[in-house]
Order: sequence, then C-alpha cells, then structure tokens
Amino acid sequence: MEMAQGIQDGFALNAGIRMQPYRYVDACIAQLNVLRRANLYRCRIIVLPDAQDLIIPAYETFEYQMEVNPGAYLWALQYTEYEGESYVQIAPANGLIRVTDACTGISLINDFAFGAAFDSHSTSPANTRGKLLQFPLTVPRMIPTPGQVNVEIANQDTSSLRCQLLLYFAEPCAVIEGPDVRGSVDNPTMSLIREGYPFRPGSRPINGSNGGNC
Amino acid sequence: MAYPRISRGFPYGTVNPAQLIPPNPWTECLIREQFMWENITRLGGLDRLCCPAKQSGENPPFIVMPPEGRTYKSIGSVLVGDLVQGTDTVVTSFRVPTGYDSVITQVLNLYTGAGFIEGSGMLTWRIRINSPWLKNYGAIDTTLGSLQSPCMINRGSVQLMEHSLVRYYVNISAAGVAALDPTQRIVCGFFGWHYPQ
Repeated sequence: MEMAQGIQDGFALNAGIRMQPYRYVDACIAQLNVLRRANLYRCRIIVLPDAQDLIIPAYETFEYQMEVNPGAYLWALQYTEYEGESYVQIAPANGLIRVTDACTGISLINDFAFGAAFDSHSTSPANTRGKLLQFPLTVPRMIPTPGQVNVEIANQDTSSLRCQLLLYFAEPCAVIEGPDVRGSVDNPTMSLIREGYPFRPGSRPINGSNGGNC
Repeated sequence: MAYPRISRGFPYGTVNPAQLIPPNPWTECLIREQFMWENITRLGGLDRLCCPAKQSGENPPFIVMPPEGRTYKSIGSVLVGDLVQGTDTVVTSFRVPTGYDSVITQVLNLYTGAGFIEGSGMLTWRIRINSPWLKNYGAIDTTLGSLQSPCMINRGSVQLMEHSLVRYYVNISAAGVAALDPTQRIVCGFFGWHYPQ
C-alpha cells in the first residue's frame, strides 16, 4: 500500500471545526478515517419524519423502517424540534429516539434516548462556532444485508410534536439492480463482491497483521 | 453512448462511480468488514458462535417463556372518587428486576361500575414505559380485557429491559367525574414474564 496522504474533505477543510484532540467530536472524526478515505462511498442523509409537516400526536410514537444499500455505515445523527407552523427551531425537550437494526434486532441506540442528546440548536450564535452540527457516533456502524433500519421517535409530551431527525450514512456505490449494461467494461467492485471474499493480490487477510482494523 | 444502469439511490442519469472506478484499499477494507459480518450472520449470528451449545431454532425468551423465567401479574386499582380531573394517576406499576428482562403479553383496564360509555373520553388510560408512551396505548378510551380474560398486546408482546419502569395511568374527564360512581374502582393490570438476561 502506498503512503497514505492527508485526507482532504469537509472535516479537514472547514476552518470552523477547531482541532481539539481531547474533545469527543475530534476523536469520532478520527474513527471515520477509513470511511473518509474510501473512494466508493457517498454520503446519504435520511430525513425523518419523511413528511416535514408530519406531526407526532401527544402520547404517540412515530415508527419508520428505512432502507439503505447493505454495507452502508451510519456515522452521525442530528435531531431538531420545531415550533408550530412557523418551523422555528427550538430546544428539543419532548422527543425520544430509538434506532434498531431491523434484521438482527440489535439496537444502535440501546433504549429511547432524549433527542436533546443529538441536538445542534443554540440560542446564541457564538455557541455554534467550531461546533459540528452532526452528532457523530464513536465508531461508524455498519448496516448489514438487507440494509433495513428501524427508527422510532416518541413524543412524551401532552401536546403534539414537530421534529426532524437526520441520519447520516456513508453508502456503498455498489450496483444492485441487475448486470452492468456496459457489458465488456470491467467492473472491479462488482467482481469483488461476486467473489464473496474480497481479497485482491497483495491485500492482507482479516486476521492478518493489519492492526485488526478491518 | 450507452449509459450504465441506474443503481438504487442515485439520481436518474447519474453514473454510479462503482462501475467506473476501482476500489481503493480503504473501500476494500470496508467491503471485507461487510462480508465478515454477513458470514457471521450466515453462521447463526454472534449468539451461535459464542454459545455453540445453544440449540438452533430455539424460540427466543421473549416469544416463549424459558424454564428459568418467572411469570408476573401486576394488578392495581384506584377509587374513582380519588381521581383528580384532567390528571394522569398511576393505577399500577412495576419495575423489571435486576438481572432480568421482561415481556408484557397481556394488559387490562376497566371500570367496575355502570355508566361508563366506551370511547366517550370519560376515562383515558395510558401505558408508559420509562419516559415514552407505549405505541397505540398512549390514549386508550375503551375497556381492554377483563380480570378473567386480559387483552393480548397488539404485537404479541412488548419487550422490556432490566430496571424499566412500567406504569398504567388513568385520566378522568369532567364528563367522567359527572357520570361515574365515585365509590367504584378503576382496575389496571399487566401480565407477562421476567427472564434472566
């Protein structure tokens, strides 16, 4: 493998994100390094509820099953609450979130968590300087086949709730709908996937001396 | 020029880079991780690999009560006369014991006297698990089940984690205060089992 060059992406180039090694966010961004260097993943942001004007009634829970390409990585969450018809952002108080891998039933968030934990709202503009709007996970979480994720947003209040949850995925650009119509053009990623065990000459096995990272 | 097929999630007319660009080592690394986890799933999941003695095909403990499980009935009641109009009052509650998970399989809520009109809003029952309200059970305005025959939970069961606090509330409206006999009682109950984690 050639010497890894420095990563140039939004995290590195955004002067507003100040590097503070002791801070949670910076540690999380470091954990995203493999994902940031991977060339065949793209960002996909899923917005829930899928209708922005959807109101979660009092005492109710919004449930949604989303679908992403298998192998996608969930790397961050962001939650916001809105006020009435004006859609003015307010500090979240009543929304609770739970995210579960639909196939295995394993929770990505163990139990209902207060949406305020994933909030980027601030009444003071100065407080947002140098902050990352997303709430990155400590380690990006892979969504295996069939790539379905259950999300629940519960309203614990006695009045209705308007909110928005953003789930940030890095989704593999694998072609999943039939063969490549270009036919004779070599498609290295698909042949890698079809082989089922994606080693290429010179790459190391899973239990090899690669530090256990992959 | 023949364009490649559109893959799911890509805007129509956009070329999917996976058809044109070879994966770099980091992409390979991530694909390898995906296959590792899919192999684990194919072999029966982490449960099967970590506990090979476990019988395959066994029903999970939240579907069928295991031999080491313990059934519970949490039934409580309050006098109608003790209810405060428009205020949620806890009728019964329980906390999942340490070292156990639980399921609720049946519930009941009823008014013991006469004069209650189903669905009228005189009484509203609610089930709360820790902070959120249980889906579809946050505003019940009808009787559910009876003491002899409680009502099955919609989804078959509700799973609860260790130390979860489960509460059954009732709320009486002005119409309920006017129409219902204050010497009669509101009864609520949970039925299910605890099982070791």
